[in-house]
Amino acid sequence: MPLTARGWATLVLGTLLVVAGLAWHYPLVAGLGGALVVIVVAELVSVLATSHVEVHREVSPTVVVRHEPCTGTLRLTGRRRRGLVRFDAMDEVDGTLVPVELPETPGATTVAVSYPIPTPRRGLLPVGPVHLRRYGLAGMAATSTETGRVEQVRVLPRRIPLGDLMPGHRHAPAGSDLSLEYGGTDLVGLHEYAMGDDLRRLHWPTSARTGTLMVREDADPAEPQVCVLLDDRVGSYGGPGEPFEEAVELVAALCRVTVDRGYPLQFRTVSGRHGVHVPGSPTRLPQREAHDLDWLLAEIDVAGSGEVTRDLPPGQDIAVVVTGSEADRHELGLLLGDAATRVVAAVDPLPLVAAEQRAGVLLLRGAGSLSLAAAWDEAAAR
Amino acid sequence: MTSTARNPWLLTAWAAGLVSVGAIALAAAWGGWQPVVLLLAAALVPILLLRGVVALGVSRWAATSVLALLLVLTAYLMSARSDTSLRGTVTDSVPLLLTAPQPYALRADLLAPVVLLTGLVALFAGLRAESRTRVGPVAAGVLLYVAAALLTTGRGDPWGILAVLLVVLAVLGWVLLDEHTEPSRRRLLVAGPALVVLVGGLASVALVPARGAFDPRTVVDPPVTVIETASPLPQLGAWAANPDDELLLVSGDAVPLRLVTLDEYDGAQWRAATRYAPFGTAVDTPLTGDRRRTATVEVQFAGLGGSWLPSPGDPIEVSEPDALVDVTTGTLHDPDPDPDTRYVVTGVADEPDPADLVGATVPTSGPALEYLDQPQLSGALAAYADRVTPDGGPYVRALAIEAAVREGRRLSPRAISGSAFWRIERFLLGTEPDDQVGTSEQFATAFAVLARRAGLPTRLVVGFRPGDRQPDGTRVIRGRDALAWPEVYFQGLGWVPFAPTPNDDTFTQGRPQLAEAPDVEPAPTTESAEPVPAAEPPPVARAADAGLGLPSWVLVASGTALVAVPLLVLAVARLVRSLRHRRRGATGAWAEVYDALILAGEPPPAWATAPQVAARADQWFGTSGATEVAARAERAAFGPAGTTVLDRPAAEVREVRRAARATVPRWRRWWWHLDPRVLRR
Repeated sequence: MPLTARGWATLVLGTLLVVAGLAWHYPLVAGLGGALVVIVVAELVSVLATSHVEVHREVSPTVVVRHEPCTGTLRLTGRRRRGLVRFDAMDEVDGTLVPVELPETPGATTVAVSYPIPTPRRGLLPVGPVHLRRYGLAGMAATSTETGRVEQVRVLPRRIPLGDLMPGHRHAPAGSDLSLEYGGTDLVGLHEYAMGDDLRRLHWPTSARTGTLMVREDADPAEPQVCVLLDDRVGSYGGPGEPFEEAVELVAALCRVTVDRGYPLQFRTVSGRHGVHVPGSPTRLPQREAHDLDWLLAEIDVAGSGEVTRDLPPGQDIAVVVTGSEADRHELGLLLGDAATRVVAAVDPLPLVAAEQRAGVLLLRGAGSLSLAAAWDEAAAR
Repeated sequence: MTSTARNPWLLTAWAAGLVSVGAIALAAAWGGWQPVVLLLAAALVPILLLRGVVALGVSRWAATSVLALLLVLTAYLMSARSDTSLRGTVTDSVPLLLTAPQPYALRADLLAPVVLLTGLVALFAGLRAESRTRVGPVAAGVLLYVAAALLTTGRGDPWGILAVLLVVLAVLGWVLLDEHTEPSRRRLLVAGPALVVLVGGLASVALVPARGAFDPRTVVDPPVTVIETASPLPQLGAWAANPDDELLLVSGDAVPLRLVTLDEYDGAQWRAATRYAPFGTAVDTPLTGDRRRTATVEVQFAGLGGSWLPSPGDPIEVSEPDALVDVTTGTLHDPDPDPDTRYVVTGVADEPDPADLVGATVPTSGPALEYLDQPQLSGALAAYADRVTPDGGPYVRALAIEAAVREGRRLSPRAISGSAFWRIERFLLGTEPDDQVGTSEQFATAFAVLARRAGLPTRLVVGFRPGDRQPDGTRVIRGRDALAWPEVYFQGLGWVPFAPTPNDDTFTQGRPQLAEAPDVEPAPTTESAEPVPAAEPPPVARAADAGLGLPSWVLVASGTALVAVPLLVLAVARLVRSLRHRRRGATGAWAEVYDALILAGEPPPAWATAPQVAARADQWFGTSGATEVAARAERAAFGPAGTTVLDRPAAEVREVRRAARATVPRWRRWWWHLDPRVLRR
């Protein structure tokens, strides 16, 4: 029975009064109890008899950065108050109910209400179903029905500002995985002229041969090969807050900057469960793999075991491992291999030193992703 | 978007209101304004103090505990003035309240438990006011209301005003005090009509007569005192022997006074009532008739003595504070008699219409049968009884016995006292010269014995005639006015006194004339009391007949008829009009459409032609039939002779009528077929 606590209590009180009034022949006591029972029954009947309200809900955008606005739009047809009964709408976001402020609709019209959907955590956020709660005027009875479908909102890690990467020292010739130290620029490809290309980069011989304007694609030897490692072992993280989230945010920022610049990127997790290779993009157009990386970073989670896989390809310019305060930094430093710039970034709730150089490995410490990013920028500028 | 914040003071005010209503209901058990003020204070002070202390940041439960202790202390101080301890006051409170006379006196030992209850309930209400269910304060108010109903046997709130207040307050709290996004005004607009319906229902419940309402006093034994006192019958001789001794000085209504009513006869003597309870507490219901008279007298003891207090009937009010009463007989007893007692007493006695007496019956079941108990009569007495009792109605039998007892017997103050069987037998059947001589004791007892034998419920009353009127308006009751007389109980009429004593006309006035009056030949007496001055018609107030004398179904039926007949007339008039339209064909159909427009509240302007009106109606109601109806009506009305007469457009008329009726709000549609507006056209 959809009776509230108040409904039950009032029903019991009213029934007691009716029984006492009838047994003792006190009509007014029975009448008083009868009035209470009538209130409860009237609300119960009207709550149960209310006709259906049509609800349609949309969420946009479906991919959103954590804490960035995400809006749900609820369209409902039907009167909000019908006799003794009124209804409220609530959306269920990741298990918690988010109230929707509905306008008072006098007639049976369709109204659209927008409401913010909170994105409190990274990952796939189930949104829905919409809960419609009908309740009586005096709060004696209330029912709740679920309607609408469940939609998934992908919440990406928070974007934190990160300036630039350290310069690279060598680059890989086309078709080769090896990266050797070269100087100058290197022609790595040609493409047809498109609006926006720099005219100074026209490759005249090929243009003459083909009859169309062709543009050089040069590789910059200072373009670094970047390898980002994320320590996803549970044991590596400790301390208050969400250190793994901070680590993921820093990793996401590093990957984003790398991909935005068009540098080739190797992303690995220390446990070896995930790995993405984003090839360099001289045109700086986003690669398909970059998209995969975004989604991977949205859903990545800590792994259970403490196994470390050492399958980092050689010849990296910049190798970064992001870890927590509990990890063994020397072991992680060894993971970075022979890269020219080796950085261990540790999310440490109580960092004593922000940055230190130890055995050719730059060790950055910060309480959060923002302070680590600032420390990174400082190190990159040096 | 407005929302009523959960203001704790508002919630407290709500709870205080509910408890106050209960307190006012409780105060009705006292009457007067002082208990109302006291109980309102007992309800409001704790709840407001609790709120104030909690607002200062003190823990709710600590504050409640301290306030509860303070309440107990207050009750202790109140009970300290009375003789009992606090514990005694609390533990004995329920029996005390249920046995104390009503309406309650303003006494601390009666008020203290109720004040304590009200205060504790108010504290509970204040404690639960901010809970989400919001039932606690309502339950508190209802609890006090039920307690009041129990104390007053459901009569504390005769019109249901307090019950209505409780319901209205509870619903308003539930509707308005919750947090809502809906404006309060809109919620009130919804709650208002629902409340009106509820209140109407509750008010109609108040009109239901409460029959056999539970009286908790029946559960508690009242403090009954058993007093064994000698019957005053032997004194009759002494009073008669000193006829000029002043016994009582009386002012007020000139009615016979009853001293003691004797209802048990065991063959040897009469026994007086022994179970006495404080005035106003007893729960027994005496045997009474339907028509009763009320009389008030002020009595001053002169030489009567004894512990009985004379009264003009079953006492309903007496100024003597510690008087005890035996309700079944109406005998008043003073536990510490004072030779100069002076008191005012109001009593009611049966006064049946003399016209009803002849056809009266005696009850054949129920408590009245106890008044037939007596031991087996001896053979001679039984034979005499059967001889003097004629066939006929109970009243005729009683009169015959009265005449038979009186006939030929002599009243003498020096007669041997006693009412045992042998004395009565000798009094009735003795042959010695002094045998058939007695005081009014023997006359009345003889009547009672014979009447009980004849199946008439009879009892004996010892009392006084109204007495001699003095120049100053008071009356003096002397020894010669003392008298014992029998009374017979008739169904629905009550106790009717008889006068078997010679030369006594106290009860013979206003008797119905019997067609064949039994031969009554007063026995010549030489030493009888002087003729009693003719008692003037008693200036007594007659109890008003119940209501207008009409049964309630007549009132209900006439009220219903008052409403129903005009409605019926309207309905018939409308039906006739519709039938007439139907007979007129196409023009009648147009008239029907025109009526529908008027009934829908859209009377067409007088200047508009039928097609104009029809077009407007079609546009208004979203129909298409009105135009067709108008066209056919014009054709039928104005077409040249010989025009083909088309059928009556029944379907179109029905369509327009239905659409028009749909525009009327749902709650007003029943009026459609009765509306007299179209009849004016």
